Amino acid sequence: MSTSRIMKYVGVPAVLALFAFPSLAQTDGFFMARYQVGVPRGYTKEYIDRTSWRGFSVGYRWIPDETVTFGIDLAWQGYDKQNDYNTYEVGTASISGVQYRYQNTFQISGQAEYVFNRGGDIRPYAGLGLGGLYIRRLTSFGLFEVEQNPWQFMLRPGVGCSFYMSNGTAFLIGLDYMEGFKNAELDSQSNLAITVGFLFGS
Amino acid sequence: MKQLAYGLFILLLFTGCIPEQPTYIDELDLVYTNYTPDFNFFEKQTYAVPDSVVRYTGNLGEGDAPEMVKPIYGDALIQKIKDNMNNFGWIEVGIGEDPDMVLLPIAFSSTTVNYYYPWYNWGWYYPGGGYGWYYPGYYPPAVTSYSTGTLLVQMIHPDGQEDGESIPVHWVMVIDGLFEGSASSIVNRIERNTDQGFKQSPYLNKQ
Repeated sequence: MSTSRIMKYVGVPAVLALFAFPSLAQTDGFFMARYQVGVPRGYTKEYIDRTSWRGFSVGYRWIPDETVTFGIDLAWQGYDKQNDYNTYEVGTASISGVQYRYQNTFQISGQAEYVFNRGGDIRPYAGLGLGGLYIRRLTSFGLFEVEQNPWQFMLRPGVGCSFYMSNGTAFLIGLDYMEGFKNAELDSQSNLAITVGFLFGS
Repeated sequence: MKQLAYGLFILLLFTGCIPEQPTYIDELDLVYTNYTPDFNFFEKQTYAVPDSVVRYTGNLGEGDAPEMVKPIYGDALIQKIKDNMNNFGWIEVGIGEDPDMVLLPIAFSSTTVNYYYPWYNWGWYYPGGGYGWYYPGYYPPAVTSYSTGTLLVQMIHPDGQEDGESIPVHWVMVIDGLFEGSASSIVNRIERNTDQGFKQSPYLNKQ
């Protein structure tokens, strides 16, 4: 993958984090680590219609005021599926075999959330992320493989709730929807992630 | 309680981390067929096939005798070709009896070979012929090299071919997979995959 492609998609959350909020370095913040179950949607579901139990995300949030947080998230979700022995026809050609499909999605996004009930033990939130989605798609057919590695812009709205325990630690549950934007290499990829995890901070 | 929660979280992180992968060697087998769409197979009656399968070695000179695949594997392929062709209504004849179609089976065991195999290397079976191959009306397999263990069967219609001309291949079957396992399991896979190659080629069926 070229450096220019990385910058094109990673640049958005980086700019949001570094330039739009220059005073964040002086504010309180917290770190998050979450396990996530991915439910494929749209064109992702057309390729692999199986729930993914392999995923996690980490992130950091600054808290510039009582009700809003800004930050950055890194997330990964791995999908895979075995298509049973079948015959596929392409023009006059027929190909029979077992097909394996793998798709790993890596997301980097700038995030903003509105937090309800700030200061309470139970704090619901709703937010929106904007960033880049890197897809590693591998279709394995017999001993042959076809690999696609496109980038897409993505939107990542989400809702959830944090349950504070003690010392600034909280249990997190949430729903994140990820929608990529179609480009020349691949149709728009999307999934719904059910997340559970912890936050550590103030 | 907190430790239990953290432990459960770490367990979840590692749950299901191994994606689906082939378990058995036959899950890597692939059967590919293609044909000339405007060639009338139905009008043809007879075919010929050699009794041995050539093993591609890549260093054969003009006039050299080719290496052959071990009979246990070659016989399985040849017999299955005959069974399927006969079941489809074709009549087997000798190569000297002017067959309508000739099937030429060859095996590759190298990892990076092209399936190009000079026509003159078939001189041990069918003298004459042309310079090379072409595939009228369709594209040959979409790869330029095969991995370990590939069987290629090309069906040609030799009528009207002049020496030095390229030979049109009207049907091609490629069986690809790992050439590993016991002899009996390899034979079973050859037989099963050859049957599959004919099953997915109904245009050859004259019944």
